[in-house]
Amino acid sequence: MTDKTSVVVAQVAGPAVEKGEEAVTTAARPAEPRSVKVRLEGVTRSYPGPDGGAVVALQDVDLAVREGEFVAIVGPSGCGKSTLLRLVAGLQETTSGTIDRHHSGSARPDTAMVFQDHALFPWRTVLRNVTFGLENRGTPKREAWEIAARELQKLGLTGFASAYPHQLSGGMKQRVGIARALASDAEILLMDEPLGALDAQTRTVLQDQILDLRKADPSLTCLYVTHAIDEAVFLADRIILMTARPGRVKEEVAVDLGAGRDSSVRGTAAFAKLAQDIWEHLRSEVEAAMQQESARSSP
Amino acid sequence: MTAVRSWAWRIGPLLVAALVWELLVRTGVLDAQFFPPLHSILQGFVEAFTAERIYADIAVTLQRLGIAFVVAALLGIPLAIGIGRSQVIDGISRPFVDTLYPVPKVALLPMIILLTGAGEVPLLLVTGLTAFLQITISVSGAVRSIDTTLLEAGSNFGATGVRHITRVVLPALMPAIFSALRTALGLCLVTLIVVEFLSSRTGLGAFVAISWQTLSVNLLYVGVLVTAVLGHGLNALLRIIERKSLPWNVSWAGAAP
Amino acid sequence: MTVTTGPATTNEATTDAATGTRRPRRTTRGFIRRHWLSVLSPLVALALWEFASRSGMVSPVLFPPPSAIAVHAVEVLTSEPEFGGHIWATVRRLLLTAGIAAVAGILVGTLITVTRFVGTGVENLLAFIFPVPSLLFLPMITFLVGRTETALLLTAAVTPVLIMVNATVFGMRQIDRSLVEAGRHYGARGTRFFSGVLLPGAMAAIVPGFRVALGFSLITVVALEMVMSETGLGAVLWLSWRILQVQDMYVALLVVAILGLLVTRGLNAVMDRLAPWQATGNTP
Repeated sequence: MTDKTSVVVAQVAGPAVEKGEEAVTTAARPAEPRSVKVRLEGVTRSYPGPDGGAVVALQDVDLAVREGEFVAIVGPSGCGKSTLLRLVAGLQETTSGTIDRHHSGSARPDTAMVFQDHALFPWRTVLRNVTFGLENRGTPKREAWEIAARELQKLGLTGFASAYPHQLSGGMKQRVGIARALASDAEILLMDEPLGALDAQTRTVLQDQILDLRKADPSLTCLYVTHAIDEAVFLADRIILMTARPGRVKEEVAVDLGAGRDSSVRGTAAFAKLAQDIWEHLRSEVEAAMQQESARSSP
Repeated sequence: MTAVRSWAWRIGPLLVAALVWELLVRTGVLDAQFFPPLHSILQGFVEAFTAERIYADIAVTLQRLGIAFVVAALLGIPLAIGIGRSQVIDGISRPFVDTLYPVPKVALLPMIILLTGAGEVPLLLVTGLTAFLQITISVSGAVRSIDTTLLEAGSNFGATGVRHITRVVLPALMPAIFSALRTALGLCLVTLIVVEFLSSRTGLGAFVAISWQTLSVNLLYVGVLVTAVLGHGLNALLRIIERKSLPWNVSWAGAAP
Repeated sequence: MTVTTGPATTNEATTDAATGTRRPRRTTRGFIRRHWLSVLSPLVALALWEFASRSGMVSPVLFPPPSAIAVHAVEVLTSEPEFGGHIWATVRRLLLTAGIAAVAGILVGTLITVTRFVGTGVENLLAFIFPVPSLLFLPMITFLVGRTETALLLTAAVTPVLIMVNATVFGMRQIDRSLVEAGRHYGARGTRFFSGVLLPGAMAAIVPGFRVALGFSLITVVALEMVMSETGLGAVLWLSWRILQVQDMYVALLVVAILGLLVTRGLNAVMDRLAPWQATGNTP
């Protein structure tokens, strides 16, 4: 396992970094300068390929996420979206480039991740899954339980505290995964296709729920990886479109559907238009990715 | 109700087999001198269990099994985790584990007797080695196939260093460890009985060998049946322990989503 | 066949890409560079043994230096046809036992699968005797056929047969229902259903089962040779130990170990041939 701290190249205090911002976030909303929670500069990640060469998963990615921002990353499969998230989480190391994470100096961890296949510990009950991060930080048991109970309530899981993961449906498991991440009160929430394994209806319900969580806590900062364009448009302030491998930032799109949007926004013309525009941008990349895929599987 | 039915399914075939046996003996298809009728085998049971000889043999076998198996597990599980997580430990131990694993451990008996002298030690070593290699191989394989996202979730939520092993790796391995222990226990019993048969005067294996040499045919069958019951009993015991200690394991809880 | 290296290389390459650690190179040099510890550690162990034996720390009579054993092995294997006869005796028994296990096991396993009621009964009966080591059936079997070669083979086959029965039953039961239905739908009946659907469908379980069965056959054949035979490697092990012909014992042990390795390793290749849709590859 990579040591989490080893990736932190430098700790940058929020307001000190203003330059370079414009170059990266061309389409960012002109909001008041809030502290930057995580900043990636020229991040490249490669690994040894089949014929001794290097496969470049990510190349020269620049990205900054500010406090209270919800940034979605969308791209074809294999574009390195998940790798990007793992780099930010410190689960993998960059090949070159830097990742600066904001650190308030408190016991708050830098990141908390929601995994696509929920990654709940099957040997722990729902409650003890949610307290896992707190336990590792030495939070007193009573306090940890209170925090966990609060988060479980937020996600409508109050009655299931003592259930084991295998007793829950897919959607409930993922809600526990989200509760676990929220409970650890990290600087930035990382979500790796959290709804990717769910059926369409459950997904819609959970999207609404994530939106509610945002409204309830305006300071919630989130980096959200998905391949579903409608999901990104529905949830995010800003969408980063990635190219096929090697993954680079192709474009940034601001989502101006209003902070107070709710479930009904899905039916609006603006929503459909935005989703359509993004798809136009992405189509060529998806086709390129499919070609890569077939090139790899044929001898 | 289902419990009754499942027991009926287990006991029923044995009764039918006993009946067939009796029939074959009575009709003279099987020679009654070597294949005694049921009542005579039952007599053997009474004989064996009242004369107390078999208690001593069962106790000896269980004691040897216990020592060899527990030591093997205590050494094998940590080594397996080491092999699964460290390339250095893997590199150093792999040639020995991989070479010894497929060797029939019985074949090592003469060499080990040379090494340690006859007596209890060679029996324990051969038996323990069987269990140790089995546990090491199965568990180290399981270490490598732990769901990587579970490991990632562990690190991401702050379980590092020793905690990573105790809070993530070990619990994730428990089902595999139990399954390895059950396989190893079965093998361990088989090996022990065989080496007792070959080179000991005590234990169940020796009980059967001696009954054969002295043509105490009734006792011979008693020994075989007791061995079967012992094997099932130990397996069931491990299963119960597993069920009690891993309540979260999906394989018990039935319908997984 | 040079073809086999192709898939093996790609297989290894993808594993490495996934873990992102090692670089694949299928050369001896690359092998040593990556696995130098695995090459070094047995050499160190052998060197220690050699030293201990030569310096008299352990008795050179009971534990001759490895170099002496190696020299003796070459001598015995090249100039004593009798020893070759022992090896062949063991190999022959191993093959026959495995053959009995495969034929009887698949047959009984199939019958158990297709006949519901009687099948379950027989299955439970076999499950009852499963934990009993094959060796304990020797007395009973000698009562039937005498202390003969047949007795040895039948005894050695007991556990292997049970393993093959289990593997066959398991394999056939886990065949996808829709495959079974498709087979019936397209008119497979009787033996055709067996050879066209049941057997290939269960192959994925039968082949690994056979490997386990072969391993058990080797154990019991060697043990039985120790108990009741004058030929075979087990007999050599036992007799040479008794008369303290220690070097012969070590050579026999070496050959048994090689047989064991062949049984497990060699079968991986066979496995890939027999059930190619079940890509085993080099288990990572």
